[in-house]
Amino acid sequence: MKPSLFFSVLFFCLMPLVGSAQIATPAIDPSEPTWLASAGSWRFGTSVALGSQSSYEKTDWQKVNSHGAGNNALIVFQPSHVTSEIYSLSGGKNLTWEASSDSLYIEERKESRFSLSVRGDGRVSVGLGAINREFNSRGVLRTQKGFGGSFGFRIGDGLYGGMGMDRLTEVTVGSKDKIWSDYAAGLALVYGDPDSSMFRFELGGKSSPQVLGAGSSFESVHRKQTKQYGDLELLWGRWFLSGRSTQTKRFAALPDEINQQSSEQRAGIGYRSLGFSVIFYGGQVEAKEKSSWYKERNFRANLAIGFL
Amino acid sequence: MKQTWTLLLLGALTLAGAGQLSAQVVVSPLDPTLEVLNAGAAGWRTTDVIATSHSDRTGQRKIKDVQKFEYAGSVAKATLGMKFDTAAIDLSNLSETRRTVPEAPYSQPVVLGHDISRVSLSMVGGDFVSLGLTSASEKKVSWESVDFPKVVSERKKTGGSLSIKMGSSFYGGGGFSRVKERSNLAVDNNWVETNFGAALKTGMPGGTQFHMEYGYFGSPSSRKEAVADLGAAIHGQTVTQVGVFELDLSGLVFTASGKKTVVSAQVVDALTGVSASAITSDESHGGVLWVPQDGMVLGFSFGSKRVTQIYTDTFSDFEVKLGYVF
Repeated sequence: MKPSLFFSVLFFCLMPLVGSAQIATPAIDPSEPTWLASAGSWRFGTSVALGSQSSYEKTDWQKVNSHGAGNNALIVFQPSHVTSEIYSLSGGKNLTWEASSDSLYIEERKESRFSLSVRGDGRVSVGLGAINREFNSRGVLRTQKGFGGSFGFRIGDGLYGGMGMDRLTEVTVGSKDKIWSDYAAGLALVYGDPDSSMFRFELGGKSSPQVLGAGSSFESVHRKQTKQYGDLELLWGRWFLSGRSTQTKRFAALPDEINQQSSEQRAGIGYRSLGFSVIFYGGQVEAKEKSSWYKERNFRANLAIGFL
Repeated sequence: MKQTWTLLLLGALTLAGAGQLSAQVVVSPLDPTLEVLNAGAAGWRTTDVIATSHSDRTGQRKIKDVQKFEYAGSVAKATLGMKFDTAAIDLSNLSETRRTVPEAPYSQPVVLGHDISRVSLSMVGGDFVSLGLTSASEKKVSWESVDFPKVVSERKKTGGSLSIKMGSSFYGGGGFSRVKERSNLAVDNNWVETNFGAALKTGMPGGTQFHMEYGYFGSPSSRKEAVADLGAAIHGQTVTQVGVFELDLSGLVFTASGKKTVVSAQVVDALTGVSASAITSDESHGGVLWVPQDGMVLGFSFGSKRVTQIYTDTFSDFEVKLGYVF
């Protein structure tokens, strides 16, 4: 029972936690990367951004606070109707648990993405993206590489939609390569002007199938996962407020695992103008199964300079 | 034994057709990154284009629901199309690589690599007829057995085609090609392929456009007897039907296409004796692109393919496309 929870904790830690709620439209916070390339077309100009996150975790089993930290950078180049985006996350560290050895490990995570999108007539957007992720835990290196395609549309003044797919290949030393496709779709309402007041509300979801590799180790399986989120952002003058809720469900793959659910809430406040923004976020992650639980508190600071 | 090899080669050649799907028999497509099959269709091109694409392909082979092995590979394509006053030229290249190596005692052919290059030249007269010449070369590398792990076969196709515009929206036409095939296992073979098609293409660039097309390709069986160390070469009677549907909404292009090929041939498993009288291939694709009148083309497509004979191959692929029209 406890191992099953910690399996889920481990898997959760393997998932990139930032930038997962920009499927149909980009966040008003220019520091947040888009998940689908097509969403990048709706950005408001060129920008450069940096972000830093720290977190600590607790479980019922290990009454030890463990700290993790990560830094990310984002460059958006939008000279016209063509938008390109380069995103990099480095130094990410997460507490991970391996049930079979009953031990705690620190996992390192790196991620980089490139996306290219083109906007047509202010109504449609088509995008392509490339992804590279590295996970290093207990000396086991896993790399995920892939590319994706997506398209988005705008109906009326403020209703946006987007959908797309990422095709990923995971390579793990000593294990068979795994190939799968992640699907994502979202709808958003966006009104206002980033130079005055703005409102954005987005609902979306992602799904990833189960892929079985050879062997029975934790890394031999890519678990089926679904994720739904709601993202609300408000810009009032120069003041920015944000709230996001994410529900994630991971499905059991190995005999000693059970289906797991976790939730994440995040709130943000900050200053945002066209040329400069600084926004602070506080969030929590909770997972509970029977009497076992996992809690995480995280803090994030985003800084961006815009060149609209 | 020689005949067995030729039969196995036949299966390999059919399989190698995976990854190529376009039905541009009588008119150029709304997706400018697609190559034309008949030069006559290229004459109706309205823009110049340079494009490339990359697709990731996975699949598996099953015999009676038992998986024998998995496919993993990629396909890269490049297309250049140029339109002059009354002439057009199209160049295209497709290169498929598969990371699949069967193990003994498996006895059926498996395609390991596949390349197609095509050159088309066409002339348009009086804005109602397009006449063209096409030259294509195709090279395949296949695994036949532990004893023949790398068999190379080549096809060269030379043909002429005609496309006639009827009214403002209807197109019809066809073509005739001479195909020569050689491999390092069998004697040379050759046959004739004929095709025809009909299409409806309406609308103007920049507005709403619609393209629907049907194409038919057929070739009779051709057999060349074994000589010395080379086995007999057999080309089974082949019928291919293709259909394309494209919708352009002010530059946002949705595409859907299907292709069905039936090869009438007796295929025999040398080890088990199991046989099939035909090789059937079903393929479908769907995609989304942004195609401006002038500028960058960006898009992606999904595809699937199923080949059925004494075994069943299934493929799925995801393709990203990048190009520029000018």
